[in-house]
Amino acid sequence: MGNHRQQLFNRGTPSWVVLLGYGFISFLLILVDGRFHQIDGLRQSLALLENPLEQVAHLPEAAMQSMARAFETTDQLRNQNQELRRQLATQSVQALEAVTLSRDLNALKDTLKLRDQQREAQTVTEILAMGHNPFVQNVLIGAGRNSGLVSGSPVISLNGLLGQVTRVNLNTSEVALLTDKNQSVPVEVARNGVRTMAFGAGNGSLTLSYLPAEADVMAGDLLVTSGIDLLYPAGLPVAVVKELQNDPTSASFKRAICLPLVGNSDYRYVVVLNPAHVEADLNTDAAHLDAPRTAPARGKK
Amino acid sequence: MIGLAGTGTTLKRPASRRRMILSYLIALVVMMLPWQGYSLFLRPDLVALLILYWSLREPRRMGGWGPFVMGLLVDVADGTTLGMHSLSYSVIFFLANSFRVRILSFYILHQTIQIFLLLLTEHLLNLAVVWFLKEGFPQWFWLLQVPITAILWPLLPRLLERDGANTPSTSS
Repeated sequence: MGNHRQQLFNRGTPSWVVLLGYGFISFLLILVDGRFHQIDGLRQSLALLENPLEQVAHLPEAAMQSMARAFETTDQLRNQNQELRRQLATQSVQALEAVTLSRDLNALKDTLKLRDQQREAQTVTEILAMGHNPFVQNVLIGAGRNSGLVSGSPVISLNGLLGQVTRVNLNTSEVALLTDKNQSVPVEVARNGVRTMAFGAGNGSLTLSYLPAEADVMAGDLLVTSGIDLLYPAGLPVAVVKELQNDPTSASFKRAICLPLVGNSDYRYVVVLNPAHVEADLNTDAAHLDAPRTAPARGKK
Repeated sequence: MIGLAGTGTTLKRPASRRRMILSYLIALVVMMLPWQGYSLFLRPDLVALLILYWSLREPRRMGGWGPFVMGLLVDVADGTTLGMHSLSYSVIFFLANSFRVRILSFYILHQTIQIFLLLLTEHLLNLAVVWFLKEGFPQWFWLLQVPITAILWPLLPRLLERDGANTPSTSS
């Protein structure tokens, strides 16, 4: 480090050339990944490399959790057990009702020749961590391509719709929360079936924009998915309307601020469903196999 | 305390490649810790800090690929758009290289201010990429990461140099 002159002149490639080169590659990567989402292979191989580090980073948290579990008292466990039994009792009644209802519904649908939209839970998994990306509201769940997840799958938790799988890794997946700025979900008001779109506001709430001023939406209304986007199945609880505001740009519209039913920290286990259109494809394919038709299976969509 | 001295009286032994790589790995692990919610806004960007440190300390050992690869790794770890951090790290690496002699001629407090500006550049570049991709902006206090990272600068020689604690004080 003694002689600076010598170092300055013996650098090899000038540093602005290096910057241009790597800057250009980075820019290409940003374009390809950010705009076209076409580079998940590279991301996954890097993620595989980083996996040991990731596990080291999760050690303190895991240790804390197992400590907490060790100190759980018998009383707490007994209370929890009772609570769970109570829930089981109420839910088994509901399940019985659901069986009868779905039998009736299927009979009705058969008569109406409607598409069978019966869905099965695809994967039950747990939330590993909140996302580190400050620009996107997401969480990391513990199932990935190994469990057969696909990008776009809806994710639900105990209280309702949580979000959508946006990126599938080998053993984990990223789930964008409904409140993320790039998320939107078609909803209807459970009370009267008014249909609209809920957009993530990026600050933990959802917004219904461009509601006609005379639309029948009130504070406290429950919003459920309407299922018209072939992605989210119909009828999943999404959010509750918190307050209505006048649209500052136009007197003939109003908008509603809604709070998601799934809070930020009160969930741990989640269920990943197949996207409705995948399910529909499966059904049409099956129908196609059963009775070959001239029209292609996907032609209807 | 004199942090990194270019013109100081101390002569430092060159850092081994192993020490540099180990420090980067530890920085990555620290950034991967379960920071979430508000604590994420306080997370120091240690990798950026190390890139600045090693490019000032060992300009010939740090090739341009170092910041690039570390940027990719941070992008994967954080789930941000691939290339975002590699771009910003490459830029601050270039800036640190260009202003190396100037930065090293400052004493520790003024050095920290320069480092603060470089880290701010890095964060603003990330914001520019987010704006370009039309993703959602974070709340403003995400920028708190910059001063929090910068105040760690005076500690780095103590952590990274074997004789860091014994460096003779020439600043006062």
